[in-house]
Amino acid sequence: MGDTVSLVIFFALAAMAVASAIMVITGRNLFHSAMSLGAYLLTIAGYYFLLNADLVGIMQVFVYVGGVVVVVLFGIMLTAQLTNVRLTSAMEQRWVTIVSLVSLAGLLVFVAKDTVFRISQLAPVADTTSFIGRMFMTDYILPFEVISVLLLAALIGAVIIAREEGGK
Amino acid sequence: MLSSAQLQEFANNYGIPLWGLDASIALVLAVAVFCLCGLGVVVLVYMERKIAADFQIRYGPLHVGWHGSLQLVADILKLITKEDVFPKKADPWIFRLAPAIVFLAAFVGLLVMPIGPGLVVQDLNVGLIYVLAIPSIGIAGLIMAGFGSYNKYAMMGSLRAAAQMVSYEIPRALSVIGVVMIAGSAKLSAIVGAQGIWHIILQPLGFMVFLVSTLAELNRTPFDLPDTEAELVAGFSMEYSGMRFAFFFFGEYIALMAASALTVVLFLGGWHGPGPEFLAPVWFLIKTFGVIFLAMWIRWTLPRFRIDQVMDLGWKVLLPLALLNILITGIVMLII
Repeated sequence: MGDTVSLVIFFALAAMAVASAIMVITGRNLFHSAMSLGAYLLTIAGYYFLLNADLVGIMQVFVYVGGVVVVVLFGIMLTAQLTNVRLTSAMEQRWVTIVSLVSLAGLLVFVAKDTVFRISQLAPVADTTSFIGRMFMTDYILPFEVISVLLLAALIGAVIIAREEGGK
Repeated sequence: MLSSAQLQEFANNYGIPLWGLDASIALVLAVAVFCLCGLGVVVLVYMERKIAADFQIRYGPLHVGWHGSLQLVADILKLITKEDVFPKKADPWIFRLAPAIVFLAAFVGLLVMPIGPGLVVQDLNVGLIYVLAIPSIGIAGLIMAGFGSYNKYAMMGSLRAAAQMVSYEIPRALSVIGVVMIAGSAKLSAIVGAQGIWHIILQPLGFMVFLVSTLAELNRTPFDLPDTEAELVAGFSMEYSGMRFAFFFFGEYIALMAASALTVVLFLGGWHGPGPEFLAPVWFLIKTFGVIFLAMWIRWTLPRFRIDQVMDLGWKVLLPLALLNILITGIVMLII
């Protein structure tokens, strides 16, 4: 892909990501905020595709949009009192917020200015899926197994919580 | 397909940047697939009506066109000219966006289906994961339809649809892992290429789990709990009329087409068949329509489940069977 095209796509995605992220926070309707969150996560998936990380990108769609956002929407729908209430979140600590916001922005600019971004000269991996799979099963077997155990614990925990409610 | 040497030479000769050529070819193909989809939906709806009629010992559409074959054209014209009814309390953005998202999520799944050797719009490395992940965006669309309509039946229907689809996504994704293990790739064209023996013979258990959970994912009878006419009026689509309803309707049939094509790709040998190579798409089409016929056959034969039976089947039967299938496949592959 041409460099200019990549740049155009990059900035378009960036604009969409920032816009949707702002909408998540400023939205007065919880459902709209959740939808904007979904849009934001989709733009992040777009970045992964732009970087040739197609497996990570599609997993972003699978886990975050298909899992997290759907469960959040589900939760909003089930709490019937919340669905059409307009939430008003007043800014209580105005000055603290502004000061911390400005200092954070300054810090980020400072860091971005002084960082040398290293770009890999290697050609992108053609078959990402099997490459990542092989890495998981050889070099990164320990983190992979630790995550498996963690997920198993979460699964068992979910089953136990569901059982107790049904048993009583 | 898009990076072949001839195309690169063509681009160089005429001074067209390669990305531009890639993008325009992809666009043309996507539009072509879109048109074929429209045609496919017309054929499918006619097929469904005639099959339903046959199963219930009646004639079905008979008067518009030859044996009623133009009935759907008349229906579409009716839907287009209908008034666009907008509920007073509906959420304007969410209500309008929902049908488009449901339709789009169904449509983009078709773009990675290899219908012949090298005949695919975009052959992704992660093709299989892509087709499993895309319907989950459709779930968000269904929830939007339920929320946006501001109607209790629509809300119930969309909640049911979401619960059912989220539950059946898990056995569906696990049942195809055996196929990936045998083929050694998640690329759909590679999976078809690896099928000297069809995967339905090597993976009978995986095929059964996949077929049942696909029917549930498509919200078709016996799993059509989200739009049970008798208790929920029409579920999530009840406030929609005219063109917006047509989009839901189209999305449903395109999803059926995509799911049947995926079944053929994964388990029924894809484009493989006797005869010369140019017959490959024909074989693919015949098999796909075979699977679609099976889905319609099941729809008009079986009665509807209760919602708790649907959930039990998904979590207590299909999920363990899918895990068992992975275990058996792993052990057999280790021994061989």
